[in-house]
Amino acid sequence: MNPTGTDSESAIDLDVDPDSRRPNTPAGAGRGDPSLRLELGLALRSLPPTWPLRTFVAANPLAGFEDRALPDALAEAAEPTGAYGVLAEREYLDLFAAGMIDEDALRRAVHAAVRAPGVEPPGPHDLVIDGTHLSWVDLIVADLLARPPLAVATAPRRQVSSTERAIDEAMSRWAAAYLDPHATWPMPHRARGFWAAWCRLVVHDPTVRALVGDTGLAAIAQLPAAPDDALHALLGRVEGARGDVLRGQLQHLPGWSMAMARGAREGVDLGAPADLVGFVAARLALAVATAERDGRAPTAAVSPEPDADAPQAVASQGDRARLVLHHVGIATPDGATQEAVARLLALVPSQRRAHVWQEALEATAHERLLARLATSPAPPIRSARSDAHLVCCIDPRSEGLRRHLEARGNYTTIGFAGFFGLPVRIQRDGAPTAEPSCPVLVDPRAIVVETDRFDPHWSRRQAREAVANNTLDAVHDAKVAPMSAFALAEAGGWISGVALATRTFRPTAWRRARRRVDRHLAAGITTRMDLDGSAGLGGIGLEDQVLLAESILRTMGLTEGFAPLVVLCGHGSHHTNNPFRAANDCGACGGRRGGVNARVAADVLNRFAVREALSAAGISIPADTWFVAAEHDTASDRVHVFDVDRVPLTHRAGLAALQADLAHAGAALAAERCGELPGAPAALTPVEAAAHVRERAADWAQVVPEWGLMGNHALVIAPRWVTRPHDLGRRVFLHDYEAAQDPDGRVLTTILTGPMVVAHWICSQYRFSTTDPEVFGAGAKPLHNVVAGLGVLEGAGGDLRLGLPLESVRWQGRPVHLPGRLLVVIQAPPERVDRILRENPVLHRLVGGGWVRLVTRSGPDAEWHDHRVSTTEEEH
Amino acid sequence: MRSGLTLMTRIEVVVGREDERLVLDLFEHAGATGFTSVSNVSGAGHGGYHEGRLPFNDRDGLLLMFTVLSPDQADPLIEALRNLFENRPGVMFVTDAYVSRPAYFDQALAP
Repeated sequence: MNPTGTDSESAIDLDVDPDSRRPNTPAGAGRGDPSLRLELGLALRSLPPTWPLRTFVAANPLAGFEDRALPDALAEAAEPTGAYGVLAEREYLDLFAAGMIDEDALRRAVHAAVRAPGVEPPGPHDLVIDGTHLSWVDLIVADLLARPPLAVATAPRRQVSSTERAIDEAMSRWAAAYLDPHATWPMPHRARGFWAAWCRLVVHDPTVRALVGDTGLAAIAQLPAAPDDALHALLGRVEGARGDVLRGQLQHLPGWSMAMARGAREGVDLGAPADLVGFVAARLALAVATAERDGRAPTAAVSPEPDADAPQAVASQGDRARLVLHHVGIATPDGATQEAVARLLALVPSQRRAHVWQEALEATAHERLLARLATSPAPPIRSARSDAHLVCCIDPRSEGLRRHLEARGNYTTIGFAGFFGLPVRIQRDGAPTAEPSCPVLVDPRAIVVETDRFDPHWSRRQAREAVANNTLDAVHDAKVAPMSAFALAEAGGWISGVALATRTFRPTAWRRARRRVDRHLAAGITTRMDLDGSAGLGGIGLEDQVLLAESILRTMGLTEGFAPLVVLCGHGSHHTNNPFRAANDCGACGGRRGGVNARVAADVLNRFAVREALSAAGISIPADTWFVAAEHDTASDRVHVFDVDRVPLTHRAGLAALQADLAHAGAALAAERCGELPGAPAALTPVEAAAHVRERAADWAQVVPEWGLMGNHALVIAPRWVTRPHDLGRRVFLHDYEAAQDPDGRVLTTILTGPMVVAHWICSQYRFSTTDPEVFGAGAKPLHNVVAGLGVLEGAGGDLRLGLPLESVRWQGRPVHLPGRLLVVIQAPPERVDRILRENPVLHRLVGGGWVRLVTRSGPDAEWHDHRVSTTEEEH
Repeated sequence: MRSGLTLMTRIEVVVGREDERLVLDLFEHAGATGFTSVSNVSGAGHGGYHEGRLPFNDRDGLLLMFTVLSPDQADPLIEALRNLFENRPGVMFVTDAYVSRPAYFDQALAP
């Protein structure tokens, strides 16, 4: 049975992906144990959510802990994950010296840490020493600022024994073999599930045989054939609560565990069914076998090797007190004074120091932004019609393009979700599958085909493409086949050498040549978005088009005052040789480029029938307004406009002028960005900068083609006039919102439950990839080995790495991204915000639990203030 | 009118959408042959009011899901769901249901 959505306000038929609800159990696995499945499913929640690399979606690695307040979640997640959510103390000291942390913010953070709710009175007191009054806050701050920093006891890092590492290496190889959808030699028996295949084949693995011996292999052979039964039997031989044991097994290989829970179900290949139970059973079987080989209980702690980075000697409290007193000018303190100061310093235990710094870092960034937003002048009374509207994604990088374009002329820009409110899958004509082009929060509800069948040259293009594809397939097959690879190298190696040299030393020329080839293959071909399903697949009915159009315009706040040109501008990042390219594409489009969504939205909004229906609903689009789709390439800051041939002749001059201004704005933006890009020449003119970023994007050796969403730390939900006067440094998400146009709060509800959640995920991903790169980051790009589109390994083995690569958040060992919580700034009546928080548990959880900081004001004459909610224990 | 009908157990849950996959897994491994699911339900309960359909967010909505299975198959599922609701928000209703084609709901009864 298919699920049916019922909602009196929406008539959109659900065409949800049936695969998402279709059982994906291995053939012949039989019924399982619901209680065991439940415990494993709950244990899986402690792992970071992940998606395949080609659709990289930023997510909060601690999403499984969001039902707790953030401080509790950090404390609880620390032991199983080994992550703490904070930088090293010396890094905070460096940031303080660089002016990124205000001393006032540090003092407030100290105050909050010491006088936290629940701290028993009487609390700390100031000291009077030799007639000098010393504030207790000053003394603790002096301790934090002491240079060189004294060695302090840090939180112990999670240690893994060499035995556990060997088990993880073996399981990593088996998981890679099982899940690879493009294996030249597919793993035998894998259609029966991981457990069945592994049990049959592990006897042939010499590494495992060396690990567990013949006795261990014999014991594994005796385990039940059904994975649930096998895991049940193994758990019976291990001490400890089942949930704890399962969580412990998953935490050894979180990346592979998440991939195994998904299985290889993308596309049409279901050759590797999801079998997390079998994977955990296999790892536990090895753990039990090695424990029995060593004569110890399976869950007995294996002494890890000592942490080489741990400080060998930790400064005593007395040392710290003496240093602090010396800092405030008391060179020879007596014993009683020293003791009093030592007691004060103990109010911030060693393991809390970095957290105090982190609060100060975050508060500095937040307060600086709020101070600037408080100075925005009152909105002007606009009389002249804009020459064009530019609607961009809320992505922080769009802020730069908007700012530079607004400076060039009579333009109005709007921030809106980059998928333009379209819950669609996009299928390129001839492609085997349709890919979701909307946030992972949203179920796609329709398929739209991008087709070239309307073009008279379609058949010629098909023929050329067939030749090209067959040639490439033949070369690929020759490369991977054992004998023909040598012959191919002999025959064509010199061609590859020339290509290699060109690509390395003349990347821009290489890219131009590639584009010439692509244009030749598709010469004169234009594509269309098939809204009506004429290609025999998908389509969106007229009634649904009208509903979508109304939703789009009302949510973006554009219901009147339409400019002659309204440009819906998606974004994507066009660069080369980057497995994490999707991380730089549009998160609102599920890690894809947003241009196609813009094309669909523009098509819908240009339709006469849709405009007629919108007019009846109170939104009158002038007859001389034309919607145009475009895509901002965030690597080169060029803006490509689609479907220019369909723009009315009356609008061509205006479009040409806009395109010229977009080119200038892009070049100016490139010059701005070059000031921060590592290795970029200094003081480039816009023309030089534009050339530099294009070369950078074409350079396959470039590990930082752009900075992506580095620096993101806030989401402003307010009219554009609040943010327009300020250069926000491409570090703030911007969603336009006019409270007066949203009396019932539906638009604000949509923004908070959709774009805000996505922004929180992105901000959290960047935070934890920066603070805990070993746990929640993907390591260094030059060491990456891509595994079949699933993810990357750093080096030859180990776990699939999670999160962002080092080069997205750090450079030369220092953090470039400043980690912190998302600051959400809303200009709206506070009672409306209260009601929305009450009615939406996800918001109550995120705001009440302190995962995001919410600041509101009712209007331009009010002050920004923190908006708090009460936390609740249960949601039902 | 109940003659000729077979007594089964109907288990109905209201859960957050993010738990849908987990609940379906439990249904499947308890031996249920099918299920029905209604998306974007709204309502009020112990934790307050819950909005129905969120235009830009299907993940944080509520689902009503139910399945029908034989009483002996139902017990392990009920136990698992009870444990689920000790950790996750949601409610469960267990009722008797009479069906005319029992083989549809219990493969053991298939001819």
